Amino acid sequence: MVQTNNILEIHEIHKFYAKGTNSEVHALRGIDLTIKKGEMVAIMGTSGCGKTTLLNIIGGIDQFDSGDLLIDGIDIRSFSDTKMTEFRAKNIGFIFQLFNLFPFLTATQNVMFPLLILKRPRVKARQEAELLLRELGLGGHLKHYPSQLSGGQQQRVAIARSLITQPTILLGDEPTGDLDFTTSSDIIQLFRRINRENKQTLILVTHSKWIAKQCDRIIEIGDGKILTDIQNGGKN
Amino acid sequence: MVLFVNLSLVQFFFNNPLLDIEMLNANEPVYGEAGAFINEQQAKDLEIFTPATNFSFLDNQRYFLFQTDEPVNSEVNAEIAQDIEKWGNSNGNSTFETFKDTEGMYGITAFNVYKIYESLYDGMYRMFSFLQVFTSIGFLVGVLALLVVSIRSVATRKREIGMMRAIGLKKHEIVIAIVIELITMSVIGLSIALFTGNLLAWAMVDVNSRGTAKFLIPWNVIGFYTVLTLTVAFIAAVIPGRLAAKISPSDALRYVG
Repeated sequence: MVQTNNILEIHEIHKFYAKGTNSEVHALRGIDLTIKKGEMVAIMGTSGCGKTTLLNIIGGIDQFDSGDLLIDGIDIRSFSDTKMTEFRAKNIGFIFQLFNLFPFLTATQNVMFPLLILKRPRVKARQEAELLLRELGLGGHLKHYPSQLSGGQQQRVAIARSLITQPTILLGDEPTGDLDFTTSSDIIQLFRRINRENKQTLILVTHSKWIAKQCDRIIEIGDGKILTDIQNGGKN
Repeated sequence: MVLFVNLSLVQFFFNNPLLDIEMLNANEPVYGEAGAFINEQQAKDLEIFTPATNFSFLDNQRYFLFQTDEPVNSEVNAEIAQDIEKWGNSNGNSTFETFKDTEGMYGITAFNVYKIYESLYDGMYRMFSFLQVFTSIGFLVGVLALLVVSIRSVATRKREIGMMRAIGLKKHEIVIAIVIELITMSVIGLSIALFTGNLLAWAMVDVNSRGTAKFLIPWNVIGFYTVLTLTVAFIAAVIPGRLAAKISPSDALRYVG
């Protein structure tokens, strides 16, 4: 493993859907990208341009057809499914537009779930989950089920769930896409706080220019390629 | 084997000097002293009887049980029963004939008890066979329902399963989770079925026998169906579970259903 300041190194990644069929789609066409530790990056682009595919590949929940992908200097392409799953559990946090909370678990149980996967003691996992939820302003909703929470509260729970394992990379796929402006603003401020305090790398896929402006860097993708890659000097 | 002999005229026996009831109950009755049934020529045709041990009264001495030396399911017992009837109803010169005339005795009806049981058992056997087939159809429907439930459950929770995979649950852990869920459902269903089924069966036995019959739980049948149900539940869970585990997390998370 090579020690580097880069958390993510992507080189010439290609991704096809339905390869070899009439409906073949060349989703990523040779993506080259390097992201530094602690960066907060926005990936923008039109629908179907390949931004979610890129995010899924970075998160190890989708395969790519060719190219190289190094996370914190580790080539994850050689990983077996089981090893990739373990790697993902420890190093990567996911936040989705539709929150994807487990409806049959309370807020606390949802947040402690990743810790239980990592075989942490249940009591300790519960304490950590409750502490984190309180930090995120959900102290009064620990025992509430997702259906009893607002969209913003659900997304906070999802963020807590992604943070609980202290992953090196947080991936957000349109994390505010289902929220109103005020709540979105709160969530983005929360992301900034996490980024600043924990030095965690955040990669957010978004359609919102306003959210992109809150990030350190804005990458625009079009037709499976990186069109622009701008360091955002004017962030708030 | 027991032969059930119904003598049609009760009074006759109380007055019949040839059928010494006291003698039948004595400690050591002598062959030939038991009465018309066994000490005359016709009795000789029926040597199979040993009155001291094979003869007993039922139902206030109107009915008699004879035990032959034949095996319980021997066809010879039916022949013996026929012989008794012939003997009791013949117009020959038997001693019994005399009493038919003098005492107004109508005759003897003899049944092979095994045949009665056999015909009763046959009816019950057919009924139980029908119920068994009926139950089997129910079981088949249950198995299919379980499969449908498990497949539907996996399909509708595709996103959930995708999220679990994304968070870090391994493929085999997904399969185990689904199997545990289905087995738990099956055990709950089975427990309810066993409780209600046995309660209903007990009630039927109790009502039919007016509380006199002992209710027996068929543990071997229950055991068989329990093992069968859990095996089927396991298979019904493993199939969709393995299918679910094979789904790529990214595909599952894209699923809207």
